[in-house]
Amino acid sequence: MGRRAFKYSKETVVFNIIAYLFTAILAFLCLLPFLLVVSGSITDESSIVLYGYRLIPVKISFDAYKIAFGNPTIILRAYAVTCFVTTVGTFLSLFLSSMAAYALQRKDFVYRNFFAFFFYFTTIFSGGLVPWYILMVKYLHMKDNYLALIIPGLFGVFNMIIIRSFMSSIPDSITESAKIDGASDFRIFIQLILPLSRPVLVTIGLFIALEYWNDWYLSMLFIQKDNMYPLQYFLYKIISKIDFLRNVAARSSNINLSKISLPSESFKLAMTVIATGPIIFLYPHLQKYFIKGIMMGAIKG
Amino acid sequence: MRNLYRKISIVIAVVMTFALFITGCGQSTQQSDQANATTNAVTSSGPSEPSGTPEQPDDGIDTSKYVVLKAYMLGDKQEDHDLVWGEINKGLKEKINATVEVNLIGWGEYEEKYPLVFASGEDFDLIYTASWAKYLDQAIKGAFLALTEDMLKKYANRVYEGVPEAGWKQAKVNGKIYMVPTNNSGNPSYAIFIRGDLREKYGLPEIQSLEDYEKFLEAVSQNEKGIFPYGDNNANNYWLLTTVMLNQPNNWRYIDCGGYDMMHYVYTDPDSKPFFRYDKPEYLEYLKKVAEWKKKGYWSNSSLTEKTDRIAMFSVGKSASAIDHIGKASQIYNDWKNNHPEWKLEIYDSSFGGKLPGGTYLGDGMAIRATSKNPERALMAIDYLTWEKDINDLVRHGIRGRHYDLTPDGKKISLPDASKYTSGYSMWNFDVLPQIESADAHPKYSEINSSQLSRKTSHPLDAFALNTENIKTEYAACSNLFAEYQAILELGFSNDIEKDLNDFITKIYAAGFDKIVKEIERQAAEYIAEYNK
Amino acid sequence: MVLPPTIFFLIFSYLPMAGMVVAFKKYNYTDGLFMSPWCGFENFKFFFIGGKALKVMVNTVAYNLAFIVTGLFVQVTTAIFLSEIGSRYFKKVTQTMMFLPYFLSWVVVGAFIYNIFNYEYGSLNTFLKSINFEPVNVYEEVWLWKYILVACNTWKWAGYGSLIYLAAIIGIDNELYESAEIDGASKFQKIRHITIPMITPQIVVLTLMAIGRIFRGDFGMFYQVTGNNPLLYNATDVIDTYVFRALLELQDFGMASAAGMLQSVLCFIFLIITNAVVRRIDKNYALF
Repeated sequence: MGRRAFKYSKETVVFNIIAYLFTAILAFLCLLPFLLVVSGSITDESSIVLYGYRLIPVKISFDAYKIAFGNPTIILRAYAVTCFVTTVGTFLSLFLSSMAAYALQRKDFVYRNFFAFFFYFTTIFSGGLVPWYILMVKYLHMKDNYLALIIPGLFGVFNMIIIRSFMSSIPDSITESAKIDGASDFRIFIQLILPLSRPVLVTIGLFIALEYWNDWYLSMLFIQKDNMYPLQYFLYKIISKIDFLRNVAARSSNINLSKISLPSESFKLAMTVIATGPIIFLYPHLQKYFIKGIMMGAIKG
Repeated sequence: MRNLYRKISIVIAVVMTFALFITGCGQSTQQSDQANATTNAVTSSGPSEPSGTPEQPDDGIDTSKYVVLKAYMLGDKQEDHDLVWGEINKGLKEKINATVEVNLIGWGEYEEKYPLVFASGEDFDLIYTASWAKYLDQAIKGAFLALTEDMLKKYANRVYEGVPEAGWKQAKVNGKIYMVPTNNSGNPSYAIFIRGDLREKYGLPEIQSLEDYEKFLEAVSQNEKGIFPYGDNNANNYWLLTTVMLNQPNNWRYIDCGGYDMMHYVYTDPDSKPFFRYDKPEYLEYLKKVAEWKKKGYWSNSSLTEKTDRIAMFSVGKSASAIDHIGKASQIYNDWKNNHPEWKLEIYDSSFGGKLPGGTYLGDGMAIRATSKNPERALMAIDYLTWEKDINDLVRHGIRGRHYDLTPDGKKISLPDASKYTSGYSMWNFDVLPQIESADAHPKYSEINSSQLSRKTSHPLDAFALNTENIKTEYAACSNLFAEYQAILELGFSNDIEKDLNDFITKIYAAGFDKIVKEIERQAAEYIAEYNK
Repeated sequence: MVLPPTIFFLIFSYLPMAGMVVAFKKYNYTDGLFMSPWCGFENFKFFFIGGKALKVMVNTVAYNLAFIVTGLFVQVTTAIFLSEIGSRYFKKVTQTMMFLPYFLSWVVVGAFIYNIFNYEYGSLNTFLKSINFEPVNVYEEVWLWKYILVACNTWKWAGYGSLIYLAAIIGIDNELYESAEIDGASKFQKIRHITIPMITPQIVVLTLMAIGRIFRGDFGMFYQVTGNNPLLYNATDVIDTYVFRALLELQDFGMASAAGMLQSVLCFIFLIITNAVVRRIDKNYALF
């Protein structure tokens, strides 16, 4: 008991100083470019060309945001599509991936290494874009279909393997005793394992959600109807149009329509802000899941 | 029991795999059969039915079946796109009982998506193509339908008459025509833009020659410390400077070898054969001059990484001159009217009265998909979209009164809603000559442009494009070397010009460049022979 | 329970894998993927005759190894610090900030880097000039770039990666720490003997997966951060950027597929060897 009283020994103080300093510097280095992004997104385009990116804009202009939100119904719809795809995708993917991960780490599953290899192999070898595209579009008819945005992301091998490695630290005794009580694999999984894996599920869930949220590649390949565009792709299309309008090699009688001062660089930055915004507000709320000791307490119970 | 269940599911999965695999194989053979069938169908015609427009001969084409043609064009969707195409399709339905459904492939994704559209075996009828959109490669890979003279005369007669013979010759690949080119071989030359106010400030005369231009650059470099005389950089078309200062005075022009200036020819000499520019003394001279200029600070020391457009730099005042297509002058002119009225934009013909290369008719065009089910109607659509005046006006300019209007002397003014339907997508092959002038052009634009157009020559190799089939490997290996050395040398970043140039030449020959040279020479000779037939 | 992913991968990964044959074919649209004529190893040649094959492969592996090592160090350290730090507020704020780089695309990062290193207007040279130093042309100091690239990579993944280790640390039974405390262990001792061994499974698994990608470079990063500057090609080209430039004008599916297959095969060999070694040490740490 006596030793416990000296909580703040000299060593702890030194450690704490190093820890706080290291983390603070790293965090600051990570924050700085983002501040530049925010400031750049409200800077007038010509001052970016003249002066580069500054933490404090030389000349402020909200043109980039005006263009993005110019038609509020469209961008709100894009947000809605993205939210839908992200939510559905994340829940499905998390559930299915973790189920597979659980099976993979069960020591009594004889083929577990075979399957692990089977899954992992797909990350090393791939047929490339063309065969996959043909499969999706020609045989599965997944063009202009929300499924095309959700399905490809359902099983990330990286995610499955990480979840597996976490679950393997859950003592086998839990599963064994539950089996003795007559529970099915499925029930064990849902009622016992999932609650115990909360930290890793939150982490991987976050990663999956971010993947869905940020994706524009799948939309580019498979979505043509413009009322189905998710957020990133929608913004990406605007930037494409802007870039073209700025650079159009003048043809015949439409020459003066090309505008040089359209916000191109600042728009790229505004895109980042618009897409990241919601996540930044969401993230701190997830942190409560990262409290130490929550898992082991449950086991004792 | 559980193990058995697992084993069965694995077997089912494997069997499914095989099944899909086999049907996959079958599909591709079906496709080539289809392509053959379509080509055969085209040559037969249906029962007679008069068409109606006076220019079209009564040709007995059957338009009784309504057809929806699917077309792919490049660009992003404009706000009024559906509005305008609604009108266009009304007209088309009336005249040829067909409508066109336009699908757009955005500029940002065109490199990925364009080849995919062919590779995935999608069904469509029309697609935009151009020399710079890899027309040659796609034609060879079997993407497009071969258009015979009979077909063209029958279904697209006005187009057939409208494109000059040189255009059809240029469009031939292995003796067959695979696209409908434009009738406008464009202006293949450039203009020098300078800050007229700075020129006056230093008491320099108007620019009449390249030497005068150099004097201007020198004056700016001495006296204006914050402005680059010529903001060159690696981002876009840095070779324009080389074109104006080296190629033009010698009447050299590059041979279209993809994106790299591998060989050149003399366009004023009809017997000129391809030659290698890089070991010529003129080239070395030029490199030395360019290195001098960089040392003097004519452009940034970070030009190799700079991504800003040269025109953008010029228009915000970061540089004092620029070189580009003369069309860009009007953009800048209008921008300065509003933002920098104190700056004067002066434009000069960069060829200073010299002869200019011929230009290509393949800069824009439409092709028909080899597997299209309605090639005849597709050809007719092209014909009407190009030559039926009211339809064509809609395609090119939009709706009169909403997007544009005409002044009494026939010039075009853009109305406030103009940005909702611009030429921002690839309808330029429908933008045939004669073209309407814009009322807001730079005052000197018309004069210089027509002067340049009048000095165009014509050489068989003008539209020649290298077919890289046989030399793919060497080409890929040399690509990297060209990408690495050319920019460094021509932007003046080399510390030892002779050594680097020699290294470059040695390395490309080590990578098989001699094979490429032989191939270019061989193909050029064949092409010229075919062209002159 | 493993049925859903099995079916998924069979359809979406293994089926298209048949398309890998295009690496050995002369592809054209009429014949499609499977009927185009064979051409043996033709499509692979381009990579080897440019004289750069070895350099580029070495670059790729070397950079990836550097990324793995520094990444590991920074991420694990950060995770440990975060788990030990008392102030909840500080943790929340710093964790959120560290996550931000993940959202910045390499295009944006590249633009910022240019903003710093630009010779005439960049922040670095402006600063140097203000303290009477000579401006530096960073884009010509080739040796600097390996450090810049490693720093960029570490910066981007610090927040993301440390999260995984943090989740692992949280899962460690508190009792272990308490009993160590009773035995008089110091902070460093606790970390060395409890924390690190308990997260070793994660470390090994993540490192193995990283090795499985050791011949693949992050194209976006290498292309944008160097600004595609030819002076830096020799020092910073990885297989992906080299192949991109070689095939840019050709757009040849066969050759692109061949390059991808080359990378896959090399990665595979490395991975099998490493995984086998790890298996020997402890069966549970291996990937499979």
